[in-house]
Amino acid sequence: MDFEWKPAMRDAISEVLETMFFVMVNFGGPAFPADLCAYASGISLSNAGGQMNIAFALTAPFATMITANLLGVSDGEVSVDDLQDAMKEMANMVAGNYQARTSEARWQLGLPFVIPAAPLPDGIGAQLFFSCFGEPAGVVTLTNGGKAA
Amino acid sequence: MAYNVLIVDDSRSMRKVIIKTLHLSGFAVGECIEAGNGREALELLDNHWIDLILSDIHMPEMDGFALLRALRERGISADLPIVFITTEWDEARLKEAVALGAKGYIRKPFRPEEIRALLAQIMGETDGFRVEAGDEGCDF
Repeated sequence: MDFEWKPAMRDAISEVLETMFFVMVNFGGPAFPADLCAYASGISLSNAGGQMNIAFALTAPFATMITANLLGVSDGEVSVDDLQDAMKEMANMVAGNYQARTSEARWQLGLPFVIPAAPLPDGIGAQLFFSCFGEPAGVVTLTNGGKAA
Repeated sequence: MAYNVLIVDDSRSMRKVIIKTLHLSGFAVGECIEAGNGREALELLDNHWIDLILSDIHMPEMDGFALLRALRERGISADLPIVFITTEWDEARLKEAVALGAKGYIRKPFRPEEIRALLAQIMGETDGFRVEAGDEGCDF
């Protein structure tokens, strides 16, 4: 990506998490080991100029909390299916929101997917870490056509 | 009058959220029927009386646009309001949806008030919403 992607991604993540998942996160804290993340989802966006991929990896406590918040249930009622479905929907909403903030190019959203082999390996793309209540919450990774953004 | 609503979204979680939002908004919900994509929606329409469709656009197998076209081919889109609730932000695509017959669209993430306001506009404030859950009773 030639543009500065992090402000737009921060705004997109914040809007989606606050509006649908009722949680606020902080950005810009220190990176944490990717193996703290237990669940991951992703989505691809494409247009005539190429493709970009957005992947989210979340810690188990944070993923459980946002799923419970979305569904209006307690943490203990969240199933793995619920959690994966919520994570796909989060990726979907953030990607749509993000692309609207970044470019006039018409990006076509793909279908979101679960990444089964979480955590994402370190250093595969441009990354933005976020935390919640002072604890590591997750990381978003942006890659451009298979390369780091 | 209570309205039967068909919720079409490949995300089970999102279907739950939309149903919950409908109930909280005071919309006069009868039966809520769920479909995971456009094809399932068409099958359900053969066997259920539906008053309103709330559909995602991006779905596997049959997306929201294909559903809308299929409804037009069946000649029932004019009588059956369809509203898209979608992550699609491309204005041209959304205008295309309206041109095809969609009554409106709501972008995800959405606030419950947005759904309420659009449904009030489409279905009618007095007809579509229960009096006890109107402006004073809407509790989000």
